[in-house]
This record gives sequence, structure tokens and C-alpha cells, in this order.
Amino acid sequence: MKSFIVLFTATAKEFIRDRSGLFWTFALPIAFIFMFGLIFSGDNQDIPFEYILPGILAMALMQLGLFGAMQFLALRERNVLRGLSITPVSRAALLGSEVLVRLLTAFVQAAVILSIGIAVFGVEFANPLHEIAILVLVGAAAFVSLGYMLICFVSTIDGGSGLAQVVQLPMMFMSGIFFPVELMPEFVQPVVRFIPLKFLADALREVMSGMGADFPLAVNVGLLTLFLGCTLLVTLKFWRWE
Amino acid sequence: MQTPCIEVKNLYKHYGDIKAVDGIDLSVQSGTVFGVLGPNGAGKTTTLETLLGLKQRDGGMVRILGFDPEKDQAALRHKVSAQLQAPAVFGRLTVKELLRLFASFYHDPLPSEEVLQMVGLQEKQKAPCDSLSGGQKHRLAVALAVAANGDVVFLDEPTTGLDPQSRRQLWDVIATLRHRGRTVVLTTHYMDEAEQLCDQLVIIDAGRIIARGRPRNLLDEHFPHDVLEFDNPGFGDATLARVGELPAVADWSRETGGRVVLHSRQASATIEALQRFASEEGRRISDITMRRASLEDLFLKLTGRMIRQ
Ligand SMILES: Nc1ncnc2c1ncn2[C@@H]1O[C@H](COP(=O)(O)OP(=O)(O)OP(=O)(O)O)[C@@H](O)[C@H]1O
Ligand SMILES: [Mg+2]
Repeated sequence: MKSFIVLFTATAKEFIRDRSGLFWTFALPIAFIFMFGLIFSGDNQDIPFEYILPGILAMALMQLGLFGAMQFLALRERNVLRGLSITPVSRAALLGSEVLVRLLTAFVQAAVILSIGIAVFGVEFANPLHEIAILVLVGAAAFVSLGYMLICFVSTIDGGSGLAQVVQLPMMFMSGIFFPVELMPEFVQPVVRFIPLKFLADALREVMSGMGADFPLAVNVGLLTLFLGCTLLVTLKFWRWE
Repeated sequence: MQTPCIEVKNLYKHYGDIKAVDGIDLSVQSGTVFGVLGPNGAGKTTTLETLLGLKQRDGGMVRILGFDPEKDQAALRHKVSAQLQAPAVFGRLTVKELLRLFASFYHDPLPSEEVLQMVGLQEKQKAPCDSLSGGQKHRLAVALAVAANGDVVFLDEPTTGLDPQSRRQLWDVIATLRHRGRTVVLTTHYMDEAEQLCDQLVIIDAGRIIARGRPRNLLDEHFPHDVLEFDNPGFGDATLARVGELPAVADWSRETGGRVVLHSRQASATIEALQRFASEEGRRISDITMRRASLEDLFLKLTGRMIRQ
């Protein structure tokens, strides 16, 4: 336990001191908020801000999860994890502290994004904050799990970031984060309904803005949890330290 | 004789057709410094990594402090430490933070200040690990292994890429470990280093041991003669042949650049006779140098190759 706390502290320091990591986790979502906030303000109300904000939060959580795993991949591929196996440092504790740092960061991310929504754009939330918090946790866990699942199937650092891009880009554009999927061509509609990021974005949208979606809230949360469970199982099955 | 701290019998590690380690026997007494020498690709790192259980051996027996590192890794975690590559985890922590972090995992670590002092990184203690130069990272890796304060320390080329001063400093670190009764196993390309530091050494080439013993004994055994060198002061072939018959000369040869090399059974007798011979011939030899054979010469003799090519 003591060594876990020590490792966790080190991991947290490492994360906070990572400028480019902080840029992707905080600066990018904030930039998106202001961009969309300004485009769809005043007369142009095609897509209301209440629609956009939960989508941006969902996107931020996805990136947080996916890219955390890539750093672990780098440790694995540079044989750092292998080297640690002869020291008393537990690799599992290192992984655990990585995951915990990500999950805690998810709350910080959510707090920042929601605060800007409230302070700058005067957003009001349809439901109490703790309901949003629970969704943030489940969503972050699902995408952290997805990240670690992906790195089971690559054996180079470049391969990992390539795969992460291949997974995240389509999800970003096809999950209705920035515009409703009804605006997309007919033939992609059936696929689009089952994109994991859409479950999270739709659920967040319903809880934050009271906007209904394809599935009821309970179904979205259920599907998201199922996704978390499946990725976790696959990860456990195919996990390797070296 | 006490039981050895590390015992290896008939160790094999093959990668397909490459016989990286091809039947190696080792026996390391505790409290000694043991050297593994050899050229690039000889199998030094592979040997160390299989000894540590980081790579699975394909055959043979390994015992470290009585444990098999592949089966009893848990028993060795606190007792054995290793510097294998530059530290690549937590690069944004400072040198001191990283050292403290690693030390905190061991039962009885050395104080960080002391270790920093030993490897000469005190001035860098507040610098992020990522910002260190190659040589400094290298020293940090050694520091992490030393801080563990275990019974056995494995060092893979601890001085490669270091400036002369840092190299000396690391020699001191190794001497200190030895003085404290630790067992050190190190690999190196530097023959002078091995001669200076190691109680026992093996020279390996292509996965096999080609020589073993105390450095001094090895050299005495293979090079019983002193080597004398001087610039040819203008002797013709016939005269040089007579130089080869001077007292105590065992062998002689002519090298490029007009140098003459004599192998002497007793250097002082040969030098005196040589000077007398030269003045009788009306010449002066003013630049006789004597050198002892080095491990470098030994490697050349055993393999017909220079160790660094
Ligand atoms: N993972 C691997 N797969 C295939 N071959 C390998 C692997 N690791 C090492 N080898 C081969 O095994 C041989 C021994 O390599 P090793 O790294 O042990 O040499 P070394 O003595 O440490 O050399 P150096 O002085 O360059 O560090 C080399 O021919 C190398 O190419
Ligand atoms: Mg090597």
C-alpha cells in the first residue's frame, strides 16, 4: 500500500509536468468549446450550445483514456517494464497508479469543461452534478479500458498511436458529437447508432441538457457499461507486460 | 573454499541460428568484482540478462545466492539489482525524486545524497531525468542499482560513453561496493578497466569463454615476456638479426614505421646489452619503451582480432 501511494504520487507528478499531455487533455477541449460557442452564438442557432458541450466532454474523456495507454505501451516496448520485473517495484501497481491518475484527471477535465459552460456560456444543467460525475467515471473507465485493450494488439509505439487514431477519428465524426447523426447519409445510420462514444455522448447530453437520444438513458448507460466489461475482458485475456 | 555467490553451468541462449550464449560456466565468489569482457555481439548482455532471469535460458543451470532467478525471482528482488539501460521511466521526475522513489522500494537503501555523491550527480539532483546527457543518464542508472544496496550488483558496460573523469569516479564506486562486501558483475570493452577493477574475469567471444582467471595471472601465463620497442637507428637486416641474439631476447619483429619490437625474458639485461651493442655499431638508441602486455594483446592473441573493430 505504501509503495502504491509512492508510485501514485510519482505518476501524478509525471502527468502534471507533461506539457503536451496537458495540452491535449485541457487546452484542446477548451479551444473546441470556444470555437463552437462562437460559431453558434447570436443569430446562428443551428446547433444549440447545450448540444455541443456534452459532446466535447465525451470527446475529451475518450482522448484521455486512449492516450494514457500509449505511454504504457512505450514503457513496454522500450523494455522498461521488463527491467522493472527484477526490482521490488510492482508493475501492476505502476499500471494501477496510471489508471487512477487518468480517472481522477477525468473529473478535473469535467469540472473545467462544465465550469466554462456555466461561467462563459451560461449553461444550466438539467440534472444534479453527481449524476454527471457518475457518467464521467463510467465513460472515462470505458475508454481507459479501450486504450489498454488496443495496446495488447500492437508491438511498436508507432503502431499504437496509429491504431489509436484509426479508432478515435471515426468515432469523433460519426458519433454525433458535433452534429446530429440524422444529418449523415442513410447507409451509415445503422452503424453509427452503435458507436461507443455515442452512448457516452448521448447519455451525457440527456443528463446535462435534458435532450433525448436514440436510446433511453438507461440503455445508453447499460451499453457503455457492457462496452467497458468487454474491453476489460479482452484486455485481461491478451495482456502482456513484455 | 566458500560456496560461490553466483554459479552458472553450461548456460545456453540461442536466437534461431545465433548462439548468443553457447555453453558458459561461471563461478563468482561473494565480495569480489567479476568482469565479463568481449567485443560487440559477444553475448555479454545476453549472459547478464539470462543470469537475472530477464531472458529465459535455453539450457544450463543458474544459481544466484542459491536461488534460480527464473523460479525464485521474488526471493532475489531485494538482494540483486542491475543497471542494464538508461532509466526510461518517470523522465519528468528530478534525479533526486527518481532516486528516492526507487530507494523507497528496498528494505535498506543507501541514502540518496550518498549515492548522488558517489556517481557525481549532486549538481544535477534537481534536474528532470529527461534533461540529462547520455553519460549522466548512464550514471543515474548505475546510481539506481547502487541505491538498492543489495548483495549483488550487475552492471552492463557501466563506463561506456563516460568522460575520463566520470569513468574514474565509477571505478571508485565499484571499489567502494567491493570494499563493503558486495559482489559486482560487470561487462566492459575496456581492457584497462578490467585489469584495474576485476578480481576475476572471463573473456567471451561468440558466446563462448575463451579465457578466464585473474587479470595479472592471465597475462603472465600468456605473455611471460616484457615487450621492448625502439626506433630502428639505421641497422641493416644483418645487424638486426644480431639484435635478435642479444641476451634474454626470446623473439623480435619489425613493425611498420621503423619500430623494432623485442620480447625479452629479462628486460634490464636486454636493455643494457642493446645499448652496448648500439654504441659498438656507432649508433644511439634513445627511445626504448617498455610495455607490459595488456588484455587487449591477449584478446588479439586468442582470436587474431582486435577487440574493438
Ligand atoms: N532479442 C534478440 N533477438 C535476436 N538476436 C539477438 C537478440 N538479442 C541479442 N541477439 C544477438 O545475440 C548476440 C549477442 O548479443 P549481446 O547483446 O549479448 O552482445 P554484447 O556482448 O552485449 O554486445 P555489446 O558489446 O555490443 O553490447 C548478438 O549477435 C545479437 O545480435
Ligand atoms: Mg551489450
